[in-house]
Amino acid sequence: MARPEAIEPATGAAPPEPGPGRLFRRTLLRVLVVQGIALVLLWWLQAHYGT
Amino acid sequence: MHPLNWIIVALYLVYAVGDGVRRAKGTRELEGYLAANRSLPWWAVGLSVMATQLSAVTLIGTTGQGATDGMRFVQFYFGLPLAMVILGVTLVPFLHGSRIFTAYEFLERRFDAKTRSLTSFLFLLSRGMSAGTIIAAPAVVLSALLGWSLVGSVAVIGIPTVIYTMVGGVQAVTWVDVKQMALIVFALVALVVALLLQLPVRPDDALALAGAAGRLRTFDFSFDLSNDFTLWSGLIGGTFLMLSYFGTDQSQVQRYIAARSVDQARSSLLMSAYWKIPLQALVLLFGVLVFVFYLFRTPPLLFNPAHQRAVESAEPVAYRALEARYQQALAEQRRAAEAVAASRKAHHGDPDPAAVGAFRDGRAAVEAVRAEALRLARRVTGESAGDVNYIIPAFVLHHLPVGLAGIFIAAVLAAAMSSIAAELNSLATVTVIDFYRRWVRPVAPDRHYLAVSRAATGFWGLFACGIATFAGTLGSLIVVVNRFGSFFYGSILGVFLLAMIPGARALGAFVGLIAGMAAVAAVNFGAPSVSFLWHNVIGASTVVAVGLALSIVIRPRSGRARKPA
Repeated sequence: MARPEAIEPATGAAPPEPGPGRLFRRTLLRVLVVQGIALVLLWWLQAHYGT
Repeated sequence: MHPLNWIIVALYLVYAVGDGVRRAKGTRELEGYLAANRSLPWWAVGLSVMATQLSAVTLIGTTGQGATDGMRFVQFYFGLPLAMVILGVTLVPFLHGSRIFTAYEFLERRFDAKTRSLTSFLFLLSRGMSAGTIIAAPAVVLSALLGWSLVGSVAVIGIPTVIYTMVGGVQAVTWVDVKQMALIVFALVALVVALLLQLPVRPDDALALAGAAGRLRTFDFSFDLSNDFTLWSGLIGGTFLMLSYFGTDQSQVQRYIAARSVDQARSSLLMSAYWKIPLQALVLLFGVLVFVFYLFRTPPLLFNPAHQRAVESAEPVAYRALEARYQQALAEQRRAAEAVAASRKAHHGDPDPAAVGAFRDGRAAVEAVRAEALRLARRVTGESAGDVNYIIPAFVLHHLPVGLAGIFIAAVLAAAMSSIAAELNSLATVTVIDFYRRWVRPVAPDRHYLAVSRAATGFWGLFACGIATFAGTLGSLIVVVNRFGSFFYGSILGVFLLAMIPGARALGAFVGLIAGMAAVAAVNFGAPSVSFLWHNVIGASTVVAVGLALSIVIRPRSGRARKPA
């Protein structure tokens, strides 16, 4: 078996960006709105037509 | 099939390969080939992630499930948005920030080489097999419906995909995925519109008939571990499955580590969360509308034409008797459906309960004859006789205007190719980065690794096509492979969860991973009624519990655990 490649120490990786960014927060808000609308529509279909 | 349909399919195939090869620019180095130089915009990564997850089975199987079982399957995806948010704030920053090629490299930085090698080996094992089944599922259906040989169907799906994935790497895969996703959505919307125009009743009445047949029942609040699709299995089990799939499966991770920044990587995942439930609801609703369409038009007794021919030939008398009973039941069902629509008109939208009752009786009679026919087909052919996957393709080929069938087949090919391309790309990446470069040849020029990556993509492409040819003839093998893969998902997620916990140690992670898989296997064989979605919860929980317990009890000689990278 060959010599394993050199592995950076755990602390050598670039640190994650601090906190969610603006794009993420904005997209998250839209996701919540779209999911909410989708679930309400599905519920309405079931309640209205599910005789 | 009309020549125009063939032209559409051929144009799509030529365009997909041409576009993929064109995108090979900038992939002369390993960083470009495997990570697109970390330069992809979030929306392209997001569409690529969605296209990868939306396989041909979604278009032909999930729509069929909508026709036979209704909307409740959508609950399977209820955990997805939650999982995306969790991944966006936890794992994605670590994976993207670490500048790695594979998710499993992260495990060596955090734990040790054996944990990395075991998880990457499990990935190769399960994904290598499933790559074959991803091709096999649509290939079997297309060959039965279009009269192609199975090898021919596999070649039409596999060869173009292998060419552009081999040449262009992740960049080609991502950009072709974007076009494929657009084609799939366009095809779905076009099919729904065409279907609505062909229905002999108003959309409002169509939904009322679907509701009366129980096809619009979406939410099931029962806490039943043996039921695959309930609100709780979707929210809890589904969240764990999606966390595992999007957070630890290289076919997904490779997409978002190619994004321009952590924020773009996170947002690309949220794009899936955005559209998954509405898109899946549209897919199922299309199936539900096909169900309504067949209330007024005569559907075949058996949707799989190969099975129909086999039964007609082997049991002609029994088949003719069933066919006569079927036609009679269909006629009664149609009259009852028309009565429901008429009663809604007469009562300002509220159907007459007696008409609804008669319609349900008519449905039950039709389903009883169909069940008998399916049992007969199983006895004659010796194969699984379920024909859910054939309902929608049969409808598209026989009832839609010229051109739409071509668009549908192109969309099925696009869905299959986008999934298989991601699989091949990720399998090659793990083979080269986690095994070849890690254990065989740690130091070599970049162009050497690039050539090996292309060769590995070609190898996995051939392997997948070979598996597909066999899996297509052994229907039960697909089930076995999928079940086998589900043993690992939750456990691998557990290792990544452990990696986020500061006190967890390498030995705990390695033993925990084995314990997690053993626990899932024990549940699978000891309590087979527990739905597969719960396996992910059991696997992940066992790994974390065993891993943490061992980390506390057994301390390494240095007495220090590595910190999360």
